[in-house]
Amino acid sequence: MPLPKVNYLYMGPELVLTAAALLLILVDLYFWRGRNRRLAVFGVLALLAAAAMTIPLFGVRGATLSKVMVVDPFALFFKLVILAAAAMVIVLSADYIAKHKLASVGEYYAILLFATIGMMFMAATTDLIMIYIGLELTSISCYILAGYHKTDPKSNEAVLKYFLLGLIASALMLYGFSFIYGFTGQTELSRIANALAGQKGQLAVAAGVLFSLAGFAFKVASVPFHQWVPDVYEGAPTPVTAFLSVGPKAAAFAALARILFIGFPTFASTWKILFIVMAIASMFIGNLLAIPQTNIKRMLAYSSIAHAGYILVGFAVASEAAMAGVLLYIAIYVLMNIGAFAIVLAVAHEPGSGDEVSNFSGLAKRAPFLAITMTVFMVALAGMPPTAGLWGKFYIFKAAVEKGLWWLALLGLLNSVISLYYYANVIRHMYFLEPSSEQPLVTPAAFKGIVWVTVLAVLIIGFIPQPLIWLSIISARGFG
Amino acid sequence: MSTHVTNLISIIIFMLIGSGFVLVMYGLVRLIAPTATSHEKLEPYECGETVVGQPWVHINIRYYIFAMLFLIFDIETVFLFPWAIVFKKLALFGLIEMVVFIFILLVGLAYPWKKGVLRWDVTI
Repeated sequence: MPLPKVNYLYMGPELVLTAAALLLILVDLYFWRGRNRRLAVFGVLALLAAAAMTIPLFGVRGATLSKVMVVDPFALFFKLVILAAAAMVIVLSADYIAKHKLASVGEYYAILLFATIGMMFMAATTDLIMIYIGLELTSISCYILAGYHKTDPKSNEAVLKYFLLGLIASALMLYGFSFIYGFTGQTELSRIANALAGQKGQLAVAAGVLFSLAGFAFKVASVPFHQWVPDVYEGAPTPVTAFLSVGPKAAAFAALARILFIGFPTFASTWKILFIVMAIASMFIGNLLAIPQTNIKRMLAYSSIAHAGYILVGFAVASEAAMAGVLLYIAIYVLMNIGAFAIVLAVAHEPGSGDEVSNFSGLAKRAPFLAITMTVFMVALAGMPPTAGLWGKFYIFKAAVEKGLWWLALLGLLNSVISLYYYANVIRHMYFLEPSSEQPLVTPAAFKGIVWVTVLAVLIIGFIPQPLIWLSIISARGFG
Repeated sequence: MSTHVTNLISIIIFMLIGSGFVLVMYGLVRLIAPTATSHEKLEPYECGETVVGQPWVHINIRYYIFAMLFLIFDIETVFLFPWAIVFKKLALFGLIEMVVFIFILLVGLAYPWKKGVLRWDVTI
């Protein structure tokens, strides 16, 4: 029996993170016992180490463990985005945990790291089994994180809804995978494509892809599998909400792109109408339902549904340029969404304050820095210049026009205008309404730091987008 | 074109027969089964022990954690047996892999141990 040849360097980031997460549990148990800030620093350092092992791999194209672990720019791009998101969420978590006196601190950070490992595997594998394992590792970790407010009934409701609906989505996806395996006898995506090459567009396999597509649509929070999103986002602890709105979404889009463009190259073009319907429905339902929301976390939840819609436009177009746009969009979306959630956290940090939009009233007088940066994030989320939000939308819609889907791009633009209404409402609250108190808002340094990092990134990418565009074009090569 | 249409048709026929079978069986049972209800019919064990007390007894939550801990060792054996069979072929590589695997499981044991769930007198 030949021994499996393993290239440990290719999965260095995951190995480092796994070891670090286990070590974090042990260190917390035996030495630090809930020393919140130390554990957070440990977690961030582990993520930085993983990122440091990821960056040198750029330029490598290879696979190990019979393609369970693939190294290509696409995987590395997503890994870096996910690592950055996780690191920022950990920084945001420390003060939130301290304020709400959440129990089991060490486990919180360890589970967050485990979720990150799961997402990295999802982005870097072309094997259906590994995609599923990565997805489950991510999902189960996220269920636990969403319910971390053990004494808060809203958090309990969130975790129950998320868990039950997530189970159904996972089961659907697995059922779809079983169809695909049953008809092709393979679990590795390029072999599936080979097995299918002879018999074009098998409908039974298409049914399998449809089932797994439903599972992914749940994970990326797209209509018609979006019902869980507002309740879960509202009930989960705010740093976890920030994490849920970017991490699992990015990873699920990565895995979906691999399944579609490597395993079933003809599927996206044949079933284009499906993606178009999902994209349009997500954009309209997300944006229109965001308007009446009074809770900012719910508003951002509906806005995240709409953003899934914009990204799905890229999947409907299914060209290499569109996928480059998708990668660009996801990277920028991570930055602006985490930035926005950092400010939500900062506003809710004050005793007696909360997650309502009305809590933002008169913020410009009490915390001018937060008000101006929140304005930047709202403008960026609406996709307006001079922020990075513009470029993500621009490249996806440009690809759509190139492929003759100009009306879809037009609908996307219309939705950007609709979204401006509720984003501008937050700005109106901050600048034109009277604050409830005159005292300046005290903001922990960690929140301010994350706001600084994200706002600078959003503005710099807004003015000099070329490096990121170049990176996403390289990473999307071969997709579409 | 014909192959995938036939594929789909066979799936649809399979689904129809499957769901039809269930419906027909339930209908047949309704039609031909004799209905005789008595107290004995409602007992959990018709021939055997007489049931004592209610089924809704409180079971200590700790048993649940013990069951989960058992799972750790369960998984361990599931992988240890096939590993032992090919141990010689896998040689040092297999040994190291298994040590890593068992170490990860050990963290899973150390965690509840240190948290005190193995002690009956500690409140969780």
